[in-house]
Amino acid sequence: MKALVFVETTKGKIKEASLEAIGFAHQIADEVVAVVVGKGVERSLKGVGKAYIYEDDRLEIPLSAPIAKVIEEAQNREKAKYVILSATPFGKELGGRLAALFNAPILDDFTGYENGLFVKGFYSNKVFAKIRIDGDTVVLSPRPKAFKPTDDATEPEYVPLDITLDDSLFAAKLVDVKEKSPEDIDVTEADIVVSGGRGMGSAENFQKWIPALKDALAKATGLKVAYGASRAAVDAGWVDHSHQVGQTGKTVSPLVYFAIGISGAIQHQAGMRTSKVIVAINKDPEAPIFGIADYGIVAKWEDVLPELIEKLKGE
Amino acid sequence: MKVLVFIKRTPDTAAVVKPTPDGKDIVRDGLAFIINPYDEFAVQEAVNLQKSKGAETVVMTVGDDASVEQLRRALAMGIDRAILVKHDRFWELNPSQVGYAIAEIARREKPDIILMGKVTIDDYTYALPGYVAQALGYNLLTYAVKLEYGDGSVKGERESDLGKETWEVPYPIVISAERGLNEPQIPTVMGIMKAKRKPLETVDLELPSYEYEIVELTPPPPRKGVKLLQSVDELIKVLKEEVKIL
Ligand SMILES: Cc1cc2nc3c(=O)[nH]c(=O)nc-3n(C[C@H](O)[C@H](O)[C@H](O)COP(=O)(O)OP(=O)(O)OC[C@H]3O[C@@H](n4cnc5c(N)ncnc54)[C@H](O)[C@@H]3O)c2cc1C
Ligand SMILES: Nc1ncnc2c1ncn2[C@@H]1O[C@H](COP(=O)(O)O)[C@@H](O)[C@H]1O
Repeated sequence: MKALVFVETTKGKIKEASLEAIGFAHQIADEVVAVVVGKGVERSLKGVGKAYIYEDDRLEIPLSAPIAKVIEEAQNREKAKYVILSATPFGKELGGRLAALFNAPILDDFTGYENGLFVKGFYSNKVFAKIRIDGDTVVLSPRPKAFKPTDDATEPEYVPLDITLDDSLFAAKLVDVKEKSPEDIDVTEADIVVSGGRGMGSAENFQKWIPALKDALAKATGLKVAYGASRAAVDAGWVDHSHQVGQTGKTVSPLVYFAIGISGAIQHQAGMRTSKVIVAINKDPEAPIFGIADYGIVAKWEDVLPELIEKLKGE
Repeated sequence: MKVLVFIKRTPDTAAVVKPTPDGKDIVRDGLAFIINPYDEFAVQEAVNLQKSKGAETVVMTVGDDASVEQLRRALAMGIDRAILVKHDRFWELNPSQVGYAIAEIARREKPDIILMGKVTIDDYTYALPGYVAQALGYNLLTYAVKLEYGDGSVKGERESDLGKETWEVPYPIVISAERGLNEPQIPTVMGIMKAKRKPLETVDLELPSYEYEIVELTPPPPRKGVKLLQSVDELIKVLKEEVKIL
């Protein structure tokens, strides 16, 4: 069975999540072909024998209407059973387009694949579903971080896709980007997430201590660390909504999730309960967060964070 | 200007959701249902357009008889009329089936603007805005947090991996709403009274079928329980020896 995997790039850089999608593709298909789209794309892809490539100055930043067209072209040649792409924010948008384009069923944002069935959290991970999906063509988008890139070091032969994309596909125009700093890693892409809640007490405290712990952990571990927040912290205006974790924020499953001054309301848990390890720091021993945490310190953060940050510097 | 908004009935965010003993469904008795929170932003946006631009507004859902409750609420918030595409077990549908229904209704209604939520909080699909834009050949702006409606296009902001993006997107357009777009208003008593008399049409559509089945629902895997630590040194030790990130 064949899989066609879309490889997402921004400013020429390949997304780690797309490599994970290739890793997943090897679990379900015996032949994996990639399609890479962007501008000035790095040639660093591994784990596939063939990669279609389409480069276009207009696609330095991915756009779903023209990219759907490019994938259609590759799929016309490959007739793959599985069309696979990572469920990044862009991948989610594009996946819907591909389902319509190929008149195919879609499974989006799943986290597991066992014995021919897919696993996905429903109802904010309050329930887990086992799902069967099949068809001539099936669109699948694994959640970032849920699967590992393949160890296979095969370097692909790049096959240019010689097509002309109509201007009408570029009707949506990006007129401005206020870029965030590259250190401002998205919570969904991080290995470690440090989140603060109302218990941080003030904007000053939140903005000083949460990033400080984030930076100390990044230095000490060499991993990708991001900072998150409860909705209470977002609503108080201490931090931007893009950092909110939970039912109306982002869903994260990092290696380690730190919840600091967060009570652990059901809507917050919805966004982080699939983290591999949860560490909670809260002064209230009855806080619901301790019900799902792996490690807890019952204390005021003021008595923990400064010492923790200092000691991490020694690691 | 005509605006079509799509909503779904979902369990309340605070609800305790449990699988039934046979694992085929969730226990629905006694569960409170709401308009999917992101769809509420979409509804409010449509109501705002009705007020600011005199837009004609229509709400549609693929749902069971009980979903009328959510349609009425959207009408009470100010939407002009409602369409129910009936499906008794709509929560088992694949997004491509729901997308088909949405596209069918949109072809009949020919809106300039389609408003949706970015995702539903029951099955977390995310796929429908892209599906609908592709099926209809409409332009698309996902995850919108701020919108300005011009004569020929919509100017919209969203947050992405890159940062804050501003887009200029011509009509006809599919927009998916992110939290922050607006503040949904609780319906007034007047609104609720009026909603009772607003038109609500039921449409039967034959949906395409796919090989898609929710085989089993199970409770989340249990977590192993909390180990309380007494000091920062103990935490450092755990991070080193058990979590192994140091
Ligand atoms: C429709 C809907 C959607 C929602 N979506 C989300 C969502 O996506 N994400 C989300 O997070 N919430 C969401 N919520 C809100 C949620 O119900 C909670 O209100 C929110 O998560 C509470 O945030 P918090 O834990 O920071 O604050 P609180 O619940 O007030 O908890 C603060 C905690 O800090 C502790 N504390 C206080 N001082 C200290 C100190 N000095 N040191 C250590 N600990 C201290 C307290 O003991 C307490 O446990 C949603 C709610 C609704 C209705
Ligand atoms: N059953 C439904 N009926 C009408 N609209 C729906 C339905 N399900 C989802 N939608 C719309 O599609 C959006 C995205 O949903 P989803 O892709 O299922 O997460 C929702 O926010 C709604 O606007």
